Amino acid sequence: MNTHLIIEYTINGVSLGSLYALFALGIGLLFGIMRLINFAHGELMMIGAYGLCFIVSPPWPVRVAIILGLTIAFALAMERLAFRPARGADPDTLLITSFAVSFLLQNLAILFFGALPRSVAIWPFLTRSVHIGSYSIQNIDLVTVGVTVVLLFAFGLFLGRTRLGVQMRAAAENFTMARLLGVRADTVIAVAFAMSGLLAGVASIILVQQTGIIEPTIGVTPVLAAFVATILGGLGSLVGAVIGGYFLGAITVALQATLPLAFRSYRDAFVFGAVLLVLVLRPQGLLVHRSTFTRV
Amino acid sequence: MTEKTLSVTSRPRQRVEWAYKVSSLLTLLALVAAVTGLASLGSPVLQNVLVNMLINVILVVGLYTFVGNTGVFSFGHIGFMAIGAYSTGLLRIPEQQKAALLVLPRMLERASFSSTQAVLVGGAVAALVAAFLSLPLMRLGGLTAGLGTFAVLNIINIVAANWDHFTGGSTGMAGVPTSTTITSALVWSVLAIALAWGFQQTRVCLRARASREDEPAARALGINVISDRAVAFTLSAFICGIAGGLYGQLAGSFGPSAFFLPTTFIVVAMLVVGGRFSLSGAVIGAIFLATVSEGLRRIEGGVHVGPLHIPARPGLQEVGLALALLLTLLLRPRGLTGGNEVSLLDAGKLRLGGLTGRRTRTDAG
Repeated sequence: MNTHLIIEYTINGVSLGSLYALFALGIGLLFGIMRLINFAHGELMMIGAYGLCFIVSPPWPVRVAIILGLTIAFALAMERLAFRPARGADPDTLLITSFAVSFLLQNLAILFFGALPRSVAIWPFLTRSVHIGSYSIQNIDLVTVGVTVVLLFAFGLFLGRTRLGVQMRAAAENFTMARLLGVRADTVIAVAFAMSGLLAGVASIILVQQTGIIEPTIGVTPVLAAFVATILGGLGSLVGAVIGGYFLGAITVALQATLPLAFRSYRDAFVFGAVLLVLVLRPQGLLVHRSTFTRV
Repeated sequence: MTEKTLSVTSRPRQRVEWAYKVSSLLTLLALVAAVTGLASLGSPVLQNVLVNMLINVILVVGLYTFVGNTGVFSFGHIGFMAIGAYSTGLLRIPEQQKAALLVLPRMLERASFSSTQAVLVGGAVAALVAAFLSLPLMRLGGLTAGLGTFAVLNIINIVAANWDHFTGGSTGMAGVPTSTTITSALVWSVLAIALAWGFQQTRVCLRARASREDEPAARALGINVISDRAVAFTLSAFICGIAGGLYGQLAGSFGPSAFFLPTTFIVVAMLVVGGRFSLSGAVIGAIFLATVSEGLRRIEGGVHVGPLHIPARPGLQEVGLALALLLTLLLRPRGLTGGNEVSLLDAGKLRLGGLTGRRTRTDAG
């Protein structure tokens, strides 16, 4: 394989990995604090995508702001109506709850907007390419990577430098202890949901710009990817979620490039097989995080 | 519960408990038979709904056999239903059609089984796959088990959608003789309920239930948690495989999308709404949600309520099911039955000496 091809694959892998990292961070954030795998995260993206479809007249910064506001509002509503009452239930009950919320929102979308896919106009700027030497990189890939890096940096600053951020990390480490020390559970969890709503909003915009198609089940595939990435990276670790996202992007592209043709369509089956292996052999993921374990 | 099982139970009390257990089985069978009897008098559409409901009863009972007895959740059982359906299809599609649709080894292409045999083989293949998968899966517990079984569902779905020679790929199978009738669905669901009930009377199941209540204590008593759970898992996959075989012979043609998230959701909802820790919960949940869902389906098609016209609304059925599941989880997390077995002995206030009431409240025998 020549270097040219390898560099092309690397660019693909980094772009895909950035998107997966965005998905995974939204899931990992809530898992760290609440032990909740939020299947309904994909439906937040679906809401963002429909927002993009119906709110077309304002200039793009206003549109982006409206959509982010929309996904954050839905994330907060979800927390208040479904997850706050279920707080303290065992993790598999929470898992079923999020499954139910996800199914509910998906079918509400079918009820209101119909099950048929809709197409959305893509911003023309994003489909153009930049040429560096003999390589051409699509603007959408650059934007995806750029936005992800900026968001990760901002989240890093927030979690590391602000009072609320430190409280959130404390809550992710040991929720009971953090509460005893005066961390407000409601605030921390609401902020975590708002942040996951923001991430879902950003992800939905990028996703729609890549595909140009919106349907009620648009969030299912991203959530599956996020779910895989968070497990590979280690449940409960934010850095792990991001690394897991990039790792998943890398192995997806690598399998696509190296698997024999006959096996290529089974690519995702191999990925899920890897998930099963990680769960059994190394349930703490690629990065160790203590609080995931139940001590027996 | 522990107090009761550890103390030496006297003979009369044992007899009362046994009577109670048998009566709860008979109650469930009577319930299924009564619903079947009523609905079979209805229109052909209603009869079709009925057969679907009976298949769902089998599926939910299958899922319950693992989830209820071990306390470990599974999102993967619809995968076993898929295995049952595809295996049955391979044995039942007429030879010429098989040659046209699929690419199979000569022996499998010639294979022609009766409906009952094919359903049994479907269940057996599902059980075999489950026994193999239980080696890694049963080491997981709690949340990771939920995620692991979810990964299994995805793997089975991807294989079904891509293994064109055997499964017909994403278009699926067609031409399976439609031989599932109300009678055969009823007989199979009675057998499934009896099998699940019978399993509950075994030592393996009692040990699995002990590890559900307190895993460290069960281990300390020398219980091999992994192997007991593996037995429950295999049996439950067998039951789900049978449901799949019946479904395949009801639908006639099906693809991988029939065995993925929406079906998983419906079956999980039925089990959780009914009460996932008792066999009665599984059966009642399936019948209850099938009834609700049929009611919603009729509204979905558009109805006139007096002068008011509610237009057709696809998606309403699923929204109703999701709301039912959410409300159950928030208001009554142990489901309608609360984890108790239901018995006509209760309904008639024929409590035998007050011995049985508390026993069923804590442990669903």
